[in-house]
Amino acid sequence: MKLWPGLLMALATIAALFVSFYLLRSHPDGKRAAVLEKTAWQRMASPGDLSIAHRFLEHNCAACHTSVKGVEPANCIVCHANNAAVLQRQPTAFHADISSCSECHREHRGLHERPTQMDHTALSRIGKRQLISNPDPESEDRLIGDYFQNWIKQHESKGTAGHPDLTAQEMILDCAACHGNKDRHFGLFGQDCAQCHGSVAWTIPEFRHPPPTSLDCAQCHQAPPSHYMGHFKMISATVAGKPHARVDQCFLCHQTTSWNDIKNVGWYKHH
Amino acid sequence: MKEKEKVIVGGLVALLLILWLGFVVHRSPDFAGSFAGGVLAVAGSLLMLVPLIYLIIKRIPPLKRAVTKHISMPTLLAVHIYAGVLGPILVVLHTGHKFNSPLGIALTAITLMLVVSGFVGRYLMRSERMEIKEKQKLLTELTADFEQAQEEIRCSPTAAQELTTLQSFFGRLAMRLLTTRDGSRQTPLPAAARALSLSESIADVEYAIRTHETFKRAFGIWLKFHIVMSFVLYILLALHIWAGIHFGLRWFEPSGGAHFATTSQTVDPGGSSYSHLTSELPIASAADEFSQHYGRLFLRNWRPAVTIHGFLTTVFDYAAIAGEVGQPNSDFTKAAASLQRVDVALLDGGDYEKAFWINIYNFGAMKLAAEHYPVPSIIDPKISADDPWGVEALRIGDESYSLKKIENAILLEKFDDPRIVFAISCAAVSCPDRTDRIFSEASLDQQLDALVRGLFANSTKGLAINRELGVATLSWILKADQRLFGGSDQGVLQFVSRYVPADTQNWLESHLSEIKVEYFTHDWGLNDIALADTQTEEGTR
Repeated sequence: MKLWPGLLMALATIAALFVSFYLLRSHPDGKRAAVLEKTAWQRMASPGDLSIAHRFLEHNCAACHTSVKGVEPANCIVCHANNAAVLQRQPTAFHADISSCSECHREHRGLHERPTQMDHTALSRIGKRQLISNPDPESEDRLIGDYFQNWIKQHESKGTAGHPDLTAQEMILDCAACHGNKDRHFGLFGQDCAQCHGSVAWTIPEFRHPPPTSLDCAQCHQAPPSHYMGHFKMISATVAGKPHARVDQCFLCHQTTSWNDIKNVGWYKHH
Repeated sequence: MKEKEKVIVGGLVALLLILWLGFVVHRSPDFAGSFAGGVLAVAGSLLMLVPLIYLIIKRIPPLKRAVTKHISMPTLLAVHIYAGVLGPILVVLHTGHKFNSPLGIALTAITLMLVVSGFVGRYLMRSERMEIKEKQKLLTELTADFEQAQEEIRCSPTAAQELTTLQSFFGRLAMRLLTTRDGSRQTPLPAAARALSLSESIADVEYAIRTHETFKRAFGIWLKFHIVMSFVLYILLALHIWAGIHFGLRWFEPSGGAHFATTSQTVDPGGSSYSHLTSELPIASAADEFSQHYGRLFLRNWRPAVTIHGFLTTVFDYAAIAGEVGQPNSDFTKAAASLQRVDVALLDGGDYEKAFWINIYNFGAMKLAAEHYPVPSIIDPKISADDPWGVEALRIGDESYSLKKIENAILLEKFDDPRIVFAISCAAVSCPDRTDRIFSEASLDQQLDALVRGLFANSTKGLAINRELGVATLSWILKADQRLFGGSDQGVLQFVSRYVPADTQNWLESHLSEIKVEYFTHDWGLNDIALADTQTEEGTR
């Protein structure tokens, strides 16, 4: 068999594949590049639709992808610089100098997928990288960074003792730096969130709520503002039929199904 | 052997056909671009290029002749087959079951088709070819028999006569019924009958061969299909690799760990006040250069407090320092080398010179330990049989300096400051704890104060007070250099009281004359991290 005709047939097959994909593929931004345009061909390698907010870039690969270097933060910052709403809030203020986007903001996941996936390991990696980002080894920030890295190195060998749900890399993060405002324990459990919480969800799988017979509700639960300033005696305790109840005796009136499920009264929502 | 190969390859092809279907239950959008996915991709692609070798060798006769001298074609074909199945398996694993881009989908589909076409062609076509070969052998035998019968008929007229009777269908049928196979062996059939029967057999076999040939032609098309598909695959693979590189590979995203390896070479100078200036300014003098290298060496190898022989002490990683001895570009070597260019006459006589000589003494002690490492202490006979303080520790300019000379002839001679004896370390466990910075001109006073305070805060080697018994146990250094502190226990206590918390100070001052002074045993053991009782820096406290 001669190979040249085979090669021609192969090229014809590829052309046919291209045409069929070109005609079948959806174009979320509503337009279709001409057959001979570069993007029409580049889009054949597109690993999925962009999210709704980015779909106007469907036919402009170079808007985000620098050739060979990939998705550079600079390409994102062109549009996303100075986002006051993000930079002013404590939980998101870290964006100001993170200089790294695609680690957590992954695209091409589909039109209706949110292109954000928090990755604490990536955050730790970025932080470590930034410590020594100044190329001048004698510069002040680099000296501090190097020193800090040595410190991390010594501590990393200790593993994740006492922090069961963290990876070794996540151990160097300071939860409170971003989540400080979120502490529902009012600092009573200290700053070391990871002693109980993991880095994926705030809920603690091992946590079992005490049984309904427990009398210690007030150890963790605080009464709402509406239970103070006379309301409690005038309305709450009266409605529940427990005129002598104290505010910290939750169990006298409330049940574990819902705070509004009042004993012997049923569903009661005053406000 | 062939049968075994067929089973193994058949199993692998079946695995491949099941693998890609995994996308129904599992899809990982990130795996293909991760490092592990990348390794699979590269390994799979390389394996998929191996079958191309067979195609090339087979089609270039001179190359084929050269190669088959060493490796037989069947071996090459076996390599072709195994690589051609294993490569696609790795590549399908690399997808992470994410089939989204047209290019990726096409690539996976073509890969599967290629493997299946290869499998079908190889195993079905081969058995077909064997069949034809057997039939052809049979055909030659039959033809030979037939020619013999023909010859007999031509030679005897009766035989020819019989032939005519058999021309009718019923005649032939009758002959079949009347002659048995048994009889044909003992008494050969008439030649005419034999010729007829043979010609029928020949016709049958020829028909069978023709049918097989049709199949063979069909499999020939299979082969063409296989080759064309392989071209499509290689072109798409090239496009896929180009797209991966062009749009940015994620496999090699710099990770913190990758940078770690290099940091040990770039740790900073030891907090000398001028450290941040040296990056912009040319180094003012060889003495500054020394401080810079020694400062780095110091910071890099200083370690927080551990317990050695029951004493809580900051330590150094002497093994690492010893590793720098003799290394041409190490800070250790550079620090020692820069001293050759120092002109001590040009030093200013103030804190700059004081800090310089204290650092020189400490570097000298560190150097003695490092050059003879491993040593249990600086007073080990390995360093000097009788007087480690008298041997040459280092050279400055052309002059040789021992530790004794630096201490007595320079530091204590030039600078009237008893704190110096605490600052010059004999590289021993019982010496004062250090911070991770070397002494520098700008903060020398604070550094020395902090050092002395730190020593007296350490109750294992600096100061321990038993108020009930009225006993103060002090660092041995105070005893050894008592002359600097007024030459008496009271003088010593007065000095100590200046560097302790107010409460202790009051007690010391009010009981000055009654206190019984004792001294700690001086532990000369090297303050080396390798000698730590426990490796954790919390130690026992």
